[in-house]
Amino acid sequence: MFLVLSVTAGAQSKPDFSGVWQALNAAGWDIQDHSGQLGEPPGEGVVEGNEIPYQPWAAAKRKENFAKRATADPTDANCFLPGVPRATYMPYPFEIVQTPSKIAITYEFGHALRVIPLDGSPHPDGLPDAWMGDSRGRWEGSTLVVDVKNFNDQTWFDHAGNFHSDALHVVERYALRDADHILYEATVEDPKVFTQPWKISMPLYRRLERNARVLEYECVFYLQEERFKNAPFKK
Amino acid sequence: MLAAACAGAQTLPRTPDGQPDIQGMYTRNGVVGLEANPPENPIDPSSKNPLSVSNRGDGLGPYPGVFGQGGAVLRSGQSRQQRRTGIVDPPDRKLPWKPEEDAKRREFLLHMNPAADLRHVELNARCALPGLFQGEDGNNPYQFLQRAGEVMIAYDYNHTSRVIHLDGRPHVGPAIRLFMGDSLGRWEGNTLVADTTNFNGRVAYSREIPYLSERLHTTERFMIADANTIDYEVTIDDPELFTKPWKVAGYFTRVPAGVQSMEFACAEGSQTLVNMFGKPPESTK
Amino acid sequence: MKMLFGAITILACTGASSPVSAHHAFAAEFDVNQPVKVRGAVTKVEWVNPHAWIYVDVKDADGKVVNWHFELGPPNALFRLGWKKDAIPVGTEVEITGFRAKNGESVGNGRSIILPDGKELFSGGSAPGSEGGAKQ
Repeated sequence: MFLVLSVTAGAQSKPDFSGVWQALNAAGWDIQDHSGQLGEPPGEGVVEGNEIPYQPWAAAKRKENFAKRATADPTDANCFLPGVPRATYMPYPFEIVQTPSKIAITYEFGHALRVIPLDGSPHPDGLPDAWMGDSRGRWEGSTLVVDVKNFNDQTWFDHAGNFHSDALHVVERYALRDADHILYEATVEDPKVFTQPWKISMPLYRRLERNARVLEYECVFYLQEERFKNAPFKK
Repeated sequence: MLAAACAGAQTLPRTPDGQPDIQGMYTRNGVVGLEANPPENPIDPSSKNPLSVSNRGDGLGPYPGVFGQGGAVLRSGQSRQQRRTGIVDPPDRKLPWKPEEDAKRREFLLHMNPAADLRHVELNARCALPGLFQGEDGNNPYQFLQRAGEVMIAYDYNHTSRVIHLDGRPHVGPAIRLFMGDSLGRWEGNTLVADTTNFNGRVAYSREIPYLSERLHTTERFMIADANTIDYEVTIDDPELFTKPWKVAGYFTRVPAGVQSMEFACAEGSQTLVNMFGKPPESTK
Repeated sequence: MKMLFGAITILACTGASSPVSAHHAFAAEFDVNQPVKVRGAVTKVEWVNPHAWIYVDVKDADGKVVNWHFELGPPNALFRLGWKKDAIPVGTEVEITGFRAKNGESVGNGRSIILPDGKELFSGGSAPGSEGGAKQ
């Protein structure tokens, strides 16, 4: 069992997360334990303790979201950016490009993109709210820790209606279990929606095909082709 | 003089795997330029054209003036450059159109304002991936990242990225078509040469050339001019539309320290198609 | 130092367009034959790309209130000039001039925004009170 280490000029060895990766679970549909239904695979949850500590008003809102998820899920129904951490466990690959000063993650779904500075800079003040948040990375030993803030309130954590406010704060941890597996954790806190922080975790699997690459899943374009195929529409 | 131009390149840092190090954040200039005898641009016509919204001759833009000025922050401190930009080959900018394809293109433009149907909507207005030529360069920087076997270019604009693979892999198969194409590259001294194929025919060059075909094949040269500047030249070879290749130039210049990359989510905030066509039936948005 | 490897210097000529026009087919989206001018209170500001939106409650001739929204430029540009998301507080009375969307709805582009004291919002330069905006 080998850890992949890269030796960077002037820095101690750090693991190299570069490559094409993908989650292998049903979390994109529902991050908690759930049975199968037509078009949606069953899954054991990725939430530690399997409970999401909603405030009472938010638990009710989540039920509403679930009931209208076919049209209300911003990502599945409208192809909008999935936010963090949902982008990690959409059923599409993503590529990590790691350099000493920045790590970029490009996701096949909707060409979502995050560029994560490793220079210790703080989250900028007054940034417009972002779908994918603002990410700042640091090393804790061999673990990559990414602090994500500055979200808007528009994304869901899954197709089951789990949601957040613009106060969302996510801390991701990426650790190499071995050359081809990342152990991924994301701690979620949002004082407007939850009574306390909660955590998801899952393995990420390296795509081992020769010359693996991320292609394009241009959900928005395909949806436009469908929705506007008979445009213009008479009033 | 050429030796003087290259002198700075000899002292450029290298990445751990030995590439000339071009990493950092840049503005892009040039690239998109007018051909000789261009057709009238239907999307942003001159003030003489009664369809123009932006250039009405009353001095007002489509939005308050400040929205056009943020790009100046990206460029503050950059020395004014006289560099090759726009169409550079042929030198007279008369593009080698196949006459029937030029005629088709001019006819297509006539149906873009008002847009006759979805197919005639400008690709940028649909928040499509911009391909190699488009992008709101005035306001949005580019980041170059490098590691062994690849160069990645990350755009702020529409959170676009492309990976230029340097690891000797082959292109993807012909059934896979991409807005950004599939790019393979190599370093020749201080020039990154990138070969891109597998475009999907939904790539615009400019407002006047609203599509290039699936047979498009580009060769790009990213030439390190000095520590802060990359000169860029792309050969556009599209045998479906043109009788021979033509070339476009531009350049990348580093931005001042402290410039933040910012999210540019596009489709999420766009109302363009609804404003043009009305709401599609049974739509939630 | 002049660079000599390009014998010809050609500056890109793309016509009289400002950088904000590069993205977007506003001429195909908004109708020059339908200029609009409305007055009302700001109800919402969406600070989104590719274009920010400002929503305004407008009283029509019958006293009925219609909510209009107007398209502005890309907000990332404003951030670099020191404008933050609270640039236009909800409730601000404004007069907005623009052109109506081609779909005929109560939507337009926001060509100019005038405050009650006659000052034009976003007329140019850095946000008021911001330290060091663009060096033009």
